[in-house]
Amino acid sequence: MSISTRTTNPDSASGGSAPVTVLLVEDEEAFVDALTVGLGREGFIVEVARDGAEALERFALVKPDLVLLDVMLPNISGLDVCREIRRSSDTPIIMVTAKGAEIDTVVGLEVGADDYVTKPYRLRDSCPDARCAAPPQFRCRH
Amino acid sequence: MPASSLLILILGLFAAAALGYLAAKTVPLKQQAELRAASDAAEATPLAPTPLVGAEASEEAAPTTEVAQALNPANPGSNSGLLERLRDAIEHIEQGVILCDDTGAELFRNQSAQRYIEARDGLVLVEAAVEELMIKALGGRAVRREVELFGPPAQSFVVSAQPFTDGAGLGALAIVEDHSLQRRTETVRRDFVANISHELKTPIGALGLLAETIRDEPESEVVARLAERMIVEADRAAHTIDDLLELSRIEFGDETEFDEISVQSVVSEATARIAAAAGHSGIEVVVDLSPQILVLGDRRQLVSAVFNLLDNAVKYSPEGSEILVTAVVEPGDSTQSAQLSSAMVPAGGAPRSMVKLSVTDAGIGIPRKDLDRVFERFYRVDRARSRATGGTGLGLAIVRHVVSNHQGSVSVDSIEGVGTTFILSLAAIVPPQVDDGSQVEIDPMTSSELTDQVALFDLPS
Repeated sequence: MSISTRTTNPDSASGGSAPVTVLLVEDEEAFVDALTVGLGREGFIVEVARDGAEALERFALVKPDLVLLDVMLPNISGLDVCREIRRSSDTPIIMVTAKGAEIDTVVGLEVGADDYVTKPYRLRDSCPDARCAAPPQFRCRH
Repeated sequence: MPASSLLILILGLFAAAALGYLAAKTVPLKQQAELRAASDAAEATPLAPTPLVGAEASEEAAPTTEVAQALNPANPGSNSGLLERLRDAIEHIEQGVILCDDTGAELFRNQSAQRYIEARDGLVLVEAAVEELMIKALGGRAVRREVELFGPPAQSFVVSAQPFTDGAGLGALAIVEDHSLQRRTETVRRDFVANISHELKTPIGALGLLAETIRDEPESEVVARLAERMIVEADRAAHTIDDLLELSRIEFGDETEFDEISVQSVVSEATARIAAAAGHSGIEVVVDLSPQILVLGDRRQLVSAVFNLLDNAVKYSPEGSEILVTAVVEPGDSTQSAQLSSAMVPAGGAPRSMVKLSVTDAGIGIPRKDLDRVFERFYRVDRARSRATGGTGLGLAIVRHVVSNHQGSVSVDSIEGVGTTFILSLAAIVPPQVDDGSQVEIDPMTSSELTDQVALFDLPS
C-alpha cells in the first residue's frame, strides 16, 4: 500500500546527508498524490499509510524520520496514533488538522505532537514544517 | 427572552396576589400548601403572613392591568374565580413553577415541577438547584443556573429564581425551563455546520495543493495525472454544493406543490438521469410497474428521491448486475389504519391506500448496525468507498426529507453481500382499477389541502 521514493532532488531536504523519510498518514487520495509528488520533489522519501492501523504498522516497519499525521482517519484516529507512537518513540510528529478546535488538544501536547498544520495547507507549509521538525542533522539551512 | 420576562411578570403578579390572598383569608390553596409541606415531611414553618403583604402587592399590581386589578388582594373574595383560573393555567404550563414564602416553605408547585421532586434519576439535580436558588432568591437576589444532565438521554434545564417583591422578604419564585430540545437542535446544527465545513474544505484544500504541485512539476505525465485529480475534486465540491442546495430547498419545503403524479413518469425521469452512470458500469435498471399508479406529490422532489435511490444502487452494485424498480398499491385496511399516526389518516377517517415504490439492488448491502443511521446527513458506512464513488453523504437525507414532505415513509432492508431494498411509501390517489371512463378532475393543490384531498380521492367513484 505504499507509494514512495521520488527523489528527483535528493539533496535539497537532507543537505547532502541521507534523505529524510516522511511517513504520510492521509486517507484522501488527492492529498496523498499531491504530497507524494511535492515532498518527493523536495528530496523527501515519502511513505504512505491510509488509516490509523496501517500508520502504526508502517511506522514500526519504516522507522521514518518524521510523521505527517492527519487527525481524521478511518479506524484509529490520528490522535490515538500519535499517542501510541509516543509510547515508544520521540520521532517528530506534525499533526494535520482541519478543525480549529482540535488544535488546542494537539499542540497542548496532550497527545505528544511536535507541531501542526491546518487544512487546507500548501506545500510551502508542509515542506518547511517537515524540515524544521526533522532531526537536526537533516534540517535545511535557512 | 421576552417570553420568559412576560411569564415572570405574570407569575409575579400571581404570586403576589396568591400571597395576599392567603394573608387575607384562609383558602384551599393554603391548606394545599400545608398538606404538601406536611407530606414532604419537611419542617415547614406555618405561614406567617403580615399585613404588609397585601399592601405591597396591591401597590405593585393595581396600576398594571385588569387582571392585576382583579387579582388585587385587597378585595380577594370577589375575584377568587379568576385567581383559581390563573392558578389552573399556571398548573398546566410547560415550565416548572415553584413558589415559596419568606420562610422557604413551599406554597405552590405546578404539575410540570412535580417530576423534579419525584425524581429518582438525574432530575434530582434539578430539584437540588431549585432549592439552592430559592434560598438565594429569598436573600433578595435574582439568580439563574443551567443544569446539564449527561444522560442518556442528555437533558438541559435552566433554573431561575427571584424574590417577587422589593426585597421585603415575602417569598420567592422559581421557574424551571426544559431546554433539552433546543440544545439537541443546536448540537445537530453545529455538527451539520462542522460537517459542511469539512466536506467542502477537503476538496478545496486538495485543489489548492494539487495546483501548487502541478505548477512546479516538470513531468507532463505527472501533471496530467494531478490535473485529472483536480477535475475529480472540483466535481466533488460542485456535487456537494448541489446536494446541499437541493437538501435545503426540500427541507424548507416552501416550494412543495402537490399534483397528481404518475409514478411511472417519476421513475422514467429518474432512470433517464441515471442511465449514463448505470451504462458505464453495465448495470441494467429494470422497471416493473403499472402506468396507472398515481400519487399526490411534488414531481421534482419525487424524481430527486428516486434518482438518489438509483444513484446509491448503481454506486454499490457490481458491474453487470440488475436494479429492479417496482411499485404496487396496497389498499389501506382498518387494522393498518389504527397504527397510522393522526397525520397519516385522512379527515374522513378512511384509511389511505399506499403506493409502495421499491428500488432493489444486488449490491454490497448495508451492515445491520448502520441501517438506522444511513439517512443521516453525511453519514457514510464506508468513507473510502463513498469517496471513491463520488458520494456526498446527502442522498439518503434528501430521500428522507422528500418522503417527510409527502407525509410518507421510507424503509430499508438489506443483507450484506446480497443486496439492498429501499421502499418509499406514498399516499395513492386513485384506486388501482378505474376503467369506467370516469375521470377525477383535480387542481394543483398546496400541502395544507393535502389531507382533505386524499380523503376525497378515496371516495368510490
